[in-house]
Amino acid sequence: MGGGTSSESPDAPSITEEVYAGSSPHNCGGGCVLKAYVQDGVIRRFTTDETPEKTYLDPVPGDYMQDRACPRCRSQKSWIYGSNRLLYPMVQTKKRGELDGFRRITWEQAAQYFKAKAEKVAKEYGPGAFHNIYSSGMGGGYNPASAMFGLAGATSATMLGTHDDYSFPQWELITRCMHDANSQPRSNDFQDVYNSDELVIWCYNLSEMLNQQQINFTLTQVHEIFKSKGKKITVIDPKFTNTAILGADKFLAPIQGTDAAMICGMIHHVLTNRLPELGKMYAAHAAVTDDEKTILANPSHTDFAKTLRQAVGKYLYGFFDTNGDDESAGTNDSYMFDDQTTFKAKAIVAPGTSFSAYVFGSDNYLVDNGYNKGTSVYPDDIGYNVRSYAIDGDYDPLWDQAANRSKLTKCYGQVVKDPEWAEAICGVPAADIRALADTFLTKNVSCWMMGGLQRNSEGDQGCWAWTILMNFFLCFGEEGRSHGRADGRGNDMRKSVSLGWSAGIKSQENLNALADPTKVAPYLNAGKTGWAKPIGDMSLLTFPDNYNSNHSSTTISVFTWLDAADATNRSKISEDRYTIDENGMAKPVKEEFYPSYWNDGQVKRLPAPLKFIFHCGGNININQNGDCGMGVKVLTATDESCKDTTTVFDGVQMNPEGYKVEFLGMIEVVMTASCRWADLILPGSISFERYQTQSSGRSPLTSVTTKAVNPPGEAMVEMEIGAIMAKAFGQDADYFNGAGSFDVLAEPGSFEKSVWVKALNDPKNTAVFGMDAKAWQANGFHKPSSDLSKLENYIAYEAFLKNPGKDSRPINAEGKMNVNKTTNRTKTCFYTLSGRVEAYCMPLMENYEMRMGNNIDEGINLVSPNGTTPGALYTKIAEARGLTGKGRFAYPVPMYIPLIEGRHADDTTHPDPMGIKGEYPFNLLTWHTIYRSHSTFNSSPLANEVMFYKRNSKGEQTYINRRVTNENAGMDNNDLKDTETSAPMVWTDDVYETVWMNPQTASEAGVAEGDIAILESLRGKVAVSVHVSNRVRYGTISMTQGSWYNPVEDWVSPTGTHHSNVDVGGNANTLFGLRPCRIAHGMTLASECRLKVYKA
Amino acid sequence: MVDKNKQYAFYFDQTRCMGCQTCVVACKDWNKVQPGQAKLRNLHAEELGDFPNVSVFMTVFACNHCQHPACVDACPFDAIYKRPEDGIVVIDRDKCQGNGSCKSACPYDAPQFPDDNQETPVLALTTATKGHKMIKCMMCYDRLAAGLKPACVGACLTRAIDVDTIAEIERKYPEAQNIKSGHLIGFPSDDTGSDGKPLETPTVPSFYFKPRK
Repeated sequence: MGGGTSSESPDAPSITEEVYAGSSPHNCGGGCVLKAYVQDGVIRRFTTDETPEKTYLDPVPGDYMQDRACPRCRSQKSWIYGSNRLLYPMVQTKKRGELDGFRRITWEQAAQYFKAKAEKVAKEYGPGAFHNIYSSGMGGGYNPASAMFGLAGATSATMLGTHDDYSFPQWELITRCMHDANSQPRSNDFQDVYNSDELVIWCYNLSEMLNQQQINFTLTQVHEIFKSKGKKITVIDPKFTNTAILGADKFLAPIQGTDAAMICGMIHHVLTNRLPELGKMYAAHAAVTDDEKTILANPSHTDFAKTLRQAVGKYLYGFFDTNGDDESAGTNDSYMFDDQTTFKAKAIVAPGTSFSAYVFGSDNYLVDNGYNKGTSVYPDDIGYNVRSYAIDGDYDPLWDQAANRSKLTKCYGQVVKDPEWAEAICGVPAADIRALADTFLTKNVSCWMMGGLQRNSEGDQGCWAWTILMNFFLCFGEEGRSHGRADGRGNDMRKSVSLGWSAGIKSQENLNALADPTKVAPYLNAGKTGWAKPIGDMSLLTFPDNYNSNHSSTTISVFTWLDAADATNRSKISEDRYTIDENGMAKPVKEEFYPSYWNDGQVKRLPAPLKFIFHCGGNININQNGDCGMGVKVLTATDESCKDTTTVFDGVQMNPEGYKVEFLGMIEVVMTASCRWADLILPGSISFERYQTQSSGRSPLTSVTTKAVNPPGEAMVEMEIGAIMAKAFGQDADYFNGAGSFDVLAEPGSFEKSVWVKALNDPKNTAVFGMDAKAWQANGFHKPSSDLSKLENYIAYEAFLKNPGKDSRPINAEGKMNVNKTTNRTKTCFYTLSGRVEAYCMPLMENYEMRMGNNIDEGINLVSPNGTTPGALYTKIAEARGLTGKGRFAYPVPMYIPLIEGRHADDTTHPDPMGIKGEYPFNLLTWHTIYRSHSTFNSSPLANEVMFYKRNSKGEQTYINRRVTNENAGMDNNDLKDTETSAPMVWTDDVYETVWMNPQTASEAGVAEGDIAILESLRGKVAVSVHVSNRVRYGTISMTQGSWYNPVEDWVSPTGTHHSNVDVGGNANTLFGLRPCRIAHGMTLASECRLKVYKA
Repeated sequence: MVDKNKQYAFYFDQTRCMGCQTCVVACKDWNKVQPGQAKLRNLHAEELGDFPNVSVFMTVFACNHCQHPACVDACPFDAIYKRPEDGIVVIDRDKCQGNGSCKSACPYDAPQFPDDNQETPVLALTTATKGHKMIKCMMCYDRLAAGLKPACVGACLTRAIDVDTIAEIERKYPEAQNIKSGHLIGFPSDDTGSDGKPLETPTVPSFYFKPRK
């Protein structure tokens, strides 16, 4: 019974496919190697990088790792051949959102429609009404959106522009003011970690987010090598992530949004209990003289405090108050730039206004010991800069109508922020808070940081406080000591493929031909990027041309685009505010402005209504933006005046419903939620169906993906979609721009291939990469270094540590700050007001005022720092109005401010300004799963079926169902005959997104493992499947972001209960809100939500 | 007695596994198994402790190409073979009648039966597996024949998996354990079928590991 000889067993099949090597970069940040195995024009399967490796674990250590693809890309075949691929252009003939209203049209008709809409908007509203909305999705291919906008005369210089992104908005704004990183500071190379005593991974779930190739194996090696040397890895994250599984020797879990409190606790501990160690650390690492070293080694020396604060002040401006006792260069009291007189008068750190003063509140300790000149001027309460006007009869829930001011929350200005105080807020034991501080004080630490600490209403504060902490600990500038976003060695060796072609659309001529000059936005800055006239009040800036206060003045924060779509399509209202006249005097003005929902000063001041939104890839319109229900509401808002029943072609009218935002269109590959509410959908291509190139990641890898198969149906590669559109405008010759003449519909792929093959065979590229088109198909990638460990270590801020302020910030011939900076490694001076990292940043307040129009909260008073002189904070307008003693919405130092919908470990202490805690007892935290890249791959069957605990209403693990419609019998395990698109895979309705909750949470919510439950926030409801786990804390429910919004008006649950307006797709953004964060007015879609939970 | 120089085995480093399931997806993709409930590799996750003092143990395996395969003994149609040259247990789908005994006998649930969504059913077969034939991990014998490692090995993001002869595994990983010498949380013992019935002979899986503490 059983088993024959080997000669009877079937032979192993041969591997016969043709291989196309390349990459499939998504907005993951990686660009790993993927090789498509193609037979009969179909991709049968994939492999990844198989080149031999060198690792740090080898007997002879090296660093040449494979760039292995994660489960997302490994599932790609099932996604490419999924049944929800868009196969032909479609136009909406009913109301937006009605799936059965989409009608198949030809490409010519699609181009006709696009042209009709674009020309109308250009003529009626000018280029300022166009917006190329933020989109990520699949990178590397040619994006024709710019050329398509150019057909209507809209360019980046003329249409609605946005600043920052959805990923790192708080990092970007904050570090542009108090640092010059313009995002997270850059740490030393990944490889430098082996020089450290400890690794701290702070809010960086690298294992799942996979923002760079090789990152998991990097952590594996670090973990094993550290273990063999007795070194530790600490992972700090509110949830026990895969990163924690992979690498944590110690796991600290501050509640989301409370890191700033923990940081204050750490600083309090160091300044109270660890002065000797702090002195020792500065003596060892700071740029101090021998005399200073002697003093720093002796805490009882009379000059210890002065020497220490001056040493801190060399790097960190405003950590302590200005003491006025040492004017020499390189101390807290002096400045690394030219205009010392003006600066001193305008931005000294007045008594009690420094960051350390904030930390110690009303406690005299730092004053008594010679560090500060006053106790904290900061009040305990802080307001919200929300609108005072109603919209559609509703006020902002943070507006207190009775008091005629905003509601208040806590900023704890007078509170002493010791580790015990912090523990009650963040949930990390005080002993661990102290121990973490001690680690930084006494060891060489690599501290890796990524996107955490932000994406909530007070994300600005966490990013700022953390950057201060790292600089306070001198965790930079040396081997084994660094903080921030790590990169791999050799990134300067990274090269790009030059396509040698771009579309030649003559946008300026189109603008001149189409746009009514009287309707052209008055802000035009022809030929340059960004509008000439700022949307912001530049008169409020002390230094309008320098020192970081003037940035982001010509664009709106990207997260406010929906606010712009709503507000600019309403009538203007008026508001009294103050500006500054030519004599420097405060002048009251009455301004007309668009009624921004979020009181955003820049949305208010936009010069044109937002009418036309188009993009290539991306799912921001509805799915990846907060409050999906509000998104639908705004994008389907109508007005009689917008109705247009002109026929475009055969039964399709211009705007019969009268939508205020008159055009929504995109190029996409699957039917996303954003597609569902669009007017026009153009089907595009996925990786390997087109040529693309990518250059990113931990290793200096450049990939070229050779087109292996055609996109399905009538889908076209994006480069050729642009040609189709251009032809409708009679500008195809311009589009082709000398590359030849092509009929892309008759011969799809011919144009793209011609350009790419020519480019890849051009000496410009072959000389750099040593490969021609044929070699690229076989190899797919180029890595310039065969062993990164042999390359030079990148030490960030090395010169700054050794010689702070040696070279002052260069000023160019026009007397303006020269922003073409030297590198992070060689510069000795930052492009900030003080030339250093700023714990106290006056320009941040002025930048905020410039953007928002007002920062003064007249109902709040600053506290006296010494019982006699009033507390005061300078900004130009506050001084002009005599209101320097008033509270602000954005202060010059970071603070711990509880999230509006946040949580404390002792939740009775959470201020709850909206009074919702009782009804919404739990919190939501999302994370970036390894099975999606944001919302990409959500419909990839193979990726979905391995998502943990994704269940149907019966509690069974779910799968994408594949209905076999053909008659082929006996499908062999190795035979893919019927997996082509003739056998559609259908996404089952009965699939629920998983949420993870602690056993105690589940018990209180009355739900159990496998139950279908509803999560409900102030914004909406989602139906989910429950998974009970101890990887999440009590009170915070975790789910992954990126699932697809699928609202059902009357949903019947498995228990037969009716629920109204439930998103059964399980999109976390149905629950999150659109309120932008306090300072940057950026995205708040990760941890800003209180919830209730109940069985469905 | 097993020939360590011939018998191929898996090596699994649980200390490196974070349960990403890249191996599960890569295996299914390489072996052209359609999305659906049948899959060749399976991940088991276990948690111990209370937040934040929690430990997570991931264990993932496919077919263990046992020295005494219960599936081979269970099959009434001689459709399953253990190759003498490398010990890989192979299914001959031409002989398979969809009986399903192999699945019940295997402690590791390695024999899998696709559902109607993954494959067209063959109505003439016995009804136990609803007209479907068995599929299983074949240790990527096609890749091995071409001098390549199995798909799971090549896919693993943290290099937690290896496949080689037992002799080579013992040489490369001197501290490697097997179920006789150690315990791996989440890995079934080899003396009971997946139907819960005890087996006459333990199967002795060709599976070595480094457990997470």
